[in-house]
Amino acid sequence: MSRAPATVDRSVPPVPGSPRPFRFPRFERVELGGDAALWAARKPDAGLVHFDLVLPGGAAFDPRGKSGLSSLTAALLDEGTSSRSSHEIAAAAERLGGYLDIRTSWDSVTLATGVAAGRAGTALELLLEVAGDPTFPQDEVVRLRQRTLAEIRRRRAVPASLAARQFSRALYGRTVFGRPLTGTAESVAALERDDLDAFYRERLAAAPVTLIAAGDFDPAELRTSVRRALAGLTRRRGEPQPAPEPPVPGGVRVYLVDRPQATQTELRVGHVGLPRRHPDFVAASVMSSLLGGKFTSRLNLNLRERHGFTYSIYSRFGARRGPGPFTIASAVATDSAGRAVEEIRGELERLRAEPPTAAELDETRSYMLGVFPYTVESLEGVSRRLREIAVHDLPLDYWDRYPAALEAVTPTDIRRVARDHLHPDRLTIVAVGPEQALRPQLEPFAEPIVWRPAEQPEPA
Amino acid sequence: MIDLPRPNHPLELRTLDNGLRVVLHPDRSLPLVAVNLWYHVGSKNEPAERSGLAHLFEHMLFQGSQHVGTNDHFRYVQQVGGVANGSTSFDRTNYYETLPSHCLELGLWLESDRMGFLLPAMTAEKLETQREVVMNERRQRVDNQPYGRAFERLHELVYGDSHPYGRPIIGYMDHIEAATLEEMETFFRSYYLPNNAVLTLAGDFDVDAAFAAVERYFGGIERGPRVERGRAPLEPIDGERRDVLEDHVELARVYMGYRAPGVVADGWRTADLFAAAWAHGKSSPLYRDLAHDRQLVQDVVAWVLPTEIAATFVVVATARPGVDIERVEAALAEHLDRAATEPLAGVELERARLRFETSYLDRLQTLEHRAETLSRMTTYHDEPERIDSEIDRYRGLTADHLVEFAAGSLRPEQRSLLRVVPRGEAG
Repeated sequence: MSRAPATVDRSVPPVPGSPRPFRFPRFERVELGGDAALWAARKPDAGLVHFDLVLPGGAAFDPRGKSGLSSLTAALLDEGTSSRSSHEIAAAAERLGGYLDIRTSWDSVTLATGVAAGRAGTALELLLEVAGDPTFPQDEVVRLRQRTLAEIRRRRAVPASLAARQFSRALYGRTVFGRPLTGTAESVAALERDDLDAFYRERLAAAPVTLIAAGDFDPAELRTSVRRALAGLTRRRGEPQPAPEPPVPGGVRVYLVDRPQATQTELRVGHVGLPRRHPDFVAASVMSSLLGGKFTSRLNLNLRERHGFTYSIYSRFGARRGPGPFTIASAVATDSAGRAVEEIRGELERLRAEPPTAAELDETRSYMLGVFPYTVESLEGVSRRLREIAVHDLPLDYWDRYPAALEAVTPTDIRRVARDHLHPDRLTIVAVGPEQALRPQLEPFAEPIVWRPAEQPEPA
Repeated sequence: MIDLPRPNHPLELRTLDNGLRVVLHPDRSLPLVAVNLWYHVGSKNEPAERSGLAHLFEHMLFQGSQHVGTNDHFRYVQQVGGVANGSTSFDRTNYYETLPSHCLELGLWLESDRMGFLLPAMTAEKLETQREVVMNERRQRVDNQPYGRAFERLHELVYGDSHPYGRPIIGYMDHIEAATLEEMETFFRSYYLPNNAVLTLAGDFDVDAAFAAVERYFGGIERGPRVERGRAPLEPIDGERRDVLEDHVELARVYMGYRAPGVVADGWRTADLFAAAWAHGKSSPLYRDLAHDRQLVQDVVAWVLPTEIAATFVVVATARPGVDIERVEAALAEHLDRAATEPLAGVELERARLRFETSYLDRLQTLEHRAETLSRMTTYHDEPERIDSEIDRYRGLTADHLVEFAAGSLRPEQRSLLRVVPRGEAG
């Protein structure tokens, strides 16, 4: 079949028109007393409302020996209040056409709901009831504890979960980030109703509380309806978050997680990174995007497109109040695991040795700038950005200044943050796959430390 | 009780002389535009011994065309701040970008170049690399995942290996290995035609100017031969089909699969609402009984895979440790039997419908999803306006429709049942 000649000049890409400006959505922040605040981003034509209620807490506050406490406590919030049972809460949320979603991160617990605009008031009442008046019924505690234990067990068969487990254990040792966010089989089995109740009172019921509202609502009405409820929720400011414990030092370390039957190898390569509030975080994110944050990143073009070692690979600085991990993750063909690690290390060294060209950096910054509006198309997307400000105590105009902050990053900045925040000389390398095939490939990097999950539930 | 706003998307459907259908949906609230191209071809169009060809071919479309260099597709898109991807299913393959709106023409240039000028750039070397990538994709998603083989096996049971829905979209490993460049070229010439595609633009543009640009970029691509919509005949199901897979898993899991009406028929929405009413959310009958009250399962979910010749209704439940998988199967069967005789309470149906409607509107917040929905409605129904009337179609469904669906499509002898159990426990 012949194709007709083009009616346009196809030999060069079209010249773009002039860009239309984009501004991050306006929002107002209202102090409600009792160290509670309402952040409201109004979008009058949305027809929908999204709420995020952000409570102070999160797995970083789990006491030693009680990992998983924050996560289990949060999961119990919607399992019973003074006036409603677990069933009644679920039915009420679903009758609103919405959902009640409770998530625990390292630094916060977030209760989220999204409903049609006409139901916002009722949805908000339910959200505040669940956050302010949980009763932790004993039978629901037992049920969810069992469910969590089974979930921990299920993950022992998932290569990516094993890799993440060994990676955080290797990076952070027995400090809080070295323990799993949802706990270990041992720690969860020991959690009792009283632990949950106490954690709730001391931590989740304390200040500050942030309610983020995005969408179609009347701001004055919203302020009135949440003022009393939110202020009643908080009593005092909680103890400050414990200072992050020092990371485990060391040179290059190799961990083999033996899965003799594996048909592929899960790789994690990295080290301790920097806290979200670190002044270098934006520059480090640009660097990570250039290295492994998009399809045209160095790692993807090298390991996927040049070598065909993998289907996907990415790099990321984890955003936590404490120093989160810098992680490179991929699933690679087992017989190329050693070469894949060598290529990864080479890319890290190259970033430290020479600044990227202006063109490569420009491409990366334009990508991050361009996708920014795309990430706030939905109300949930707007809310997520506001949550990031709230959880990490970023300046309120953080997202207004973000484009300029990206623009300001230069090639020499990239080399500087690469030298400060990438450490190929103290990489932790985790490979989940058949030990026999992996050992000879990874021994050249360091003598492997082996974890056999079939014999040991947790890495040493 | 129903107080949700009815969606009302401004849109136009126009057709080029070469048969390309173009849907234009302007929305100028953000400086973004979504470009979404559906080709009405998927794994069901593959030769039986070449499963995975359509998907492997999708990978080749990101490897450059006559005027676009090997890795330049993503480069062009990402350097202006856009995102791009593609996906392959049984019936269709889609390619899409969301771009800053002043770069709309870039999207048109890229998509038209690979529609009209792909073959000069397709080489054996690129095929070899993508073959490796796809084999790793298969390992990552299927072979090296707990329960990874389950859907492949369930589809084999539900449709039999003589039907294209009985073969995996990603392909069997030996089929991926065997695919040749000539087969890729034939596939392209047969299906990647303007008269077998729908192009949707959604976002910040002037409709006439955007359509004129589409004409400039796509108008010169020649119409191809008419694509026959062969419907591979479904072999009748003459009784329950069962299998057990031993896998490296900790918890046993049961999969039940049934055939439901295909997406072109209205009947599949009944199946869809049935799944939502019975198994979505903590207060649904299946979750409440099996997961909460009796604690037999970790989770239970049901959904409909919306395919064209027939859709697949699936129920999946993971047993709690120590719970015999047979008890889980019996409990599921009990509910499905009841569903075939007892209408759900009005409040249960209302809950499911509201949840459906809210999440439908919730998803339509993004241009990418709106464009995808418009392409789908146009490919299957030639009627993009269905993006707004879809909710009405669900509102017309009653509890009796759900009973009728269960009685007609979810009978025990129509079931395919797959157990995935820990190694050594197949019994």
